[in-house]
Amino acid sequence: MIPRLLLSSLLAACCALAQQQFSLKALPAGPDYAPGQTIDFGTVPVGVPSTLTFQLANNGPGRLVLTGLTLDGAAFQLGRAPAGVAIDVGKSIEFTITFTPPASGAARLGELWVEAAGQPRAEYDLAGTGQGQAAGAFVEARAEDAPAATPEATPTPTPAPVWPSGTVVAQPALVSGEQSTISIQFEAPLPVDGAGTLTMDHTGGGDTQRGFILPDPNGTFVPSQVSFTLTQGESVARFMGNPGIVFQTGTTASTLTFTAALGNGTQLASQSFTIAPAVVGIDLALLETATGGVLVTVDGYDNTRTASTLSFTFYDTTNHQIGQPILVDATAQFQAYFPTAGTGLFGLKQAFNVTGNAAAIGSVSVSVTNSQGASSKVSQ
Amino acid sequence: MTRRLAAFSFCLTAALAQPALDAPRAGCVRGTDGGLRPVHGITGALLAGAPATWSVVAAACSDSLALVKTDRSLEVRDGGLALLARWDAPAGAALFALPRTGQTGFVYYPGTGQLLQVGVQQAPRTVLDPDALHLMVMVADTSGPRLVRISTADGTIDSQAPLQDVAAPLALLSDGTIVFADGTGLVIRPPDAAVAGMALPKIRPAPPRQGIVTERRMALPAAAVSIDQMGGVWLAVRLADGSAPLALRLEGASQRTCRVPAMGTAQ
Repeated sequence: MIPRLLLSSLLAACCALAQQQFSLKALPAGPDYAPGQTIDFGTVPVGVPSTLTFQLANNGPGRLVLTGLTLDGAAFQLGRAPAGVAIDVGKSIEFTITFTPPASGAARLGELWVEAAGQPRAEYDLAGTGQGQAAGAFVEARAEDAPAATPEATPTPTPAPVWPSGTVVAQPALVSGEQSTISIQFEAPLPVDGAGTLTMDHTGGGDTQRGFILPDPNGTFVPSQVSFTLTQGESVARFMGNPGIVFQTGTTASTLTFTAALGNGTQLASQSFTIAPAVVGIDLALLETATGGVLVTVDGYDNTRTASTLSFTFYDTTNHQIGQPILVDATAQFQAYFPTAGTGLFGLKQAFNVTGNAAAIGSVSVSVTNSQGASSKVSQ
Repeated sequence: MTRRLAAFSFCLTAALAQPALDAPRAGCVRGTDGGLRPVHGITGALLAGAPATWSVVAAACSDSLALVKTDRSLEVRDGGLALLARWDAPAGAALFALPRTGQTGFVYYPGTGQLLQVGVQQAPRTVLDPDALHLMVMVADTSGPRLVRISTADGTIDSQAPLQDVAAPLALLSDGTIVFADGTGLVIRPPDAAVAGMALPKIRPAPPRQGIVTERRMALPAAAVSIDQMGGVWLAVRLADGSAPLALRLEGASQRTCRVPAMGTAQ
């Protein structure tokens, strides 16, 4: 069993190494750290900060977009965290971690996570030993480290930074079928550097097209969670260096809650936004000639997913209405479509046979009804 | 009114035919990683899926067709990016012209100067369909930017008209509207007199909608580095700041824009 487990571990490690595009080393002269290894800060006097500088290098083959640099463990503080930057092949960035032991003794204290677009997340253990002052070891339990060791002496608490009150702001206001910029704004300058995550939860309908858009060349879509960094003296969180991040609301009525928290779980801000049920949004109505008649294409969304009847009113090229509106009951089609769509988006095509000169039809006004009422749009 | 009703009477059985529903298709977008991704959605709710093919040098999509240039081949794909045909092609870039719908388009290879017609049913050919009338292209070389009307029967140039104050990257839309970069913005120029004079014969009367009548400028977060045909009604504008591509759709007298996010991939 042991050799098999060992083999599995080796294989996993090899795979991780093979996929990893970046390398991490302590400056100025190493060592290099592979994911899963322990970064040991050595023995440090209790209460005295000790800072190490690390270099994160892109070994290729492509540009690396660093999306998250987060840390767990109260004895460690991330500083000069440059998350959100793109690193060209052969280039590197630097960041610092400060270890301040709150009590004497050695322990495995925390973790560092490095996240980059298209890369497996890399984890590193953080360790250090406090020397002097109160005797005995101290351990800060992490979620996965259970049960935690019992401290032999009461640790001396490290003065935690007092974070100013934060607010999650959406500009423009969140409505269905839009892209807004989400920012985290603080009422006072930040006391220290830091890093954390902004998480979006929802009540009501899910939506596969709802999520964050990273400011990288491909606009990487992230459904529910993005990393941010905090810089001492600033009053906003930064997403890949930007003071806000684009959020695509999707096309489903729901309440969205954005929560910003540090890597250690400390909540900095939380805000809920309600996207109310609305009439059908018609983004595009197209009229084109087809064999034996015309074809009408309607692209839009229904954030209630209750669409039912459509009405088509045709006009000639001099903008005179042709006959009466033609009603089409598509209730059954919508009810069959939405449960499999994952969003409120729909693309509808309706063909009409025409007797006479179809080329003389100039436009069509399309109206769609749902539980909130009717909306209409004239074809392009 | 009676006359109109007689001319446009609809067949009742057809009107009662049930509509077809699907995810709205917006076209395709080429990533900086060379992947060509199908794009679904509407303004403000677009999403590019997993790449259908890699190593793409240039591409253009319409509602029904995609022309894809890799280093040494030209591919014809359907609106869903399924491969229909692949042909040998000279190395390097390509420029495309695709109508919003239809099964043929045009490709121009700057490296060789070849202008070809290509379609689902036909190999690329320089002897063009004599029924296809003319092709209008924008040319920017040492003689300065100008609009050129080319006979698709024999490839000869019928006429030329100089274009004032335009700069690359740029795009010529099917109605003669020109979209081009200017600093950190885009200029949307309606068809002017020179363009109108060269316009193709009107086969079908224009719909009674209001188009762009005056030139207007649209601010961008950063300078545009490319303007590609993303779909039948969409342009994709890539910006110099390395951020997500911007989708642009002209609609009557206004324009709509949004970012085009892409599902993450691990190559």
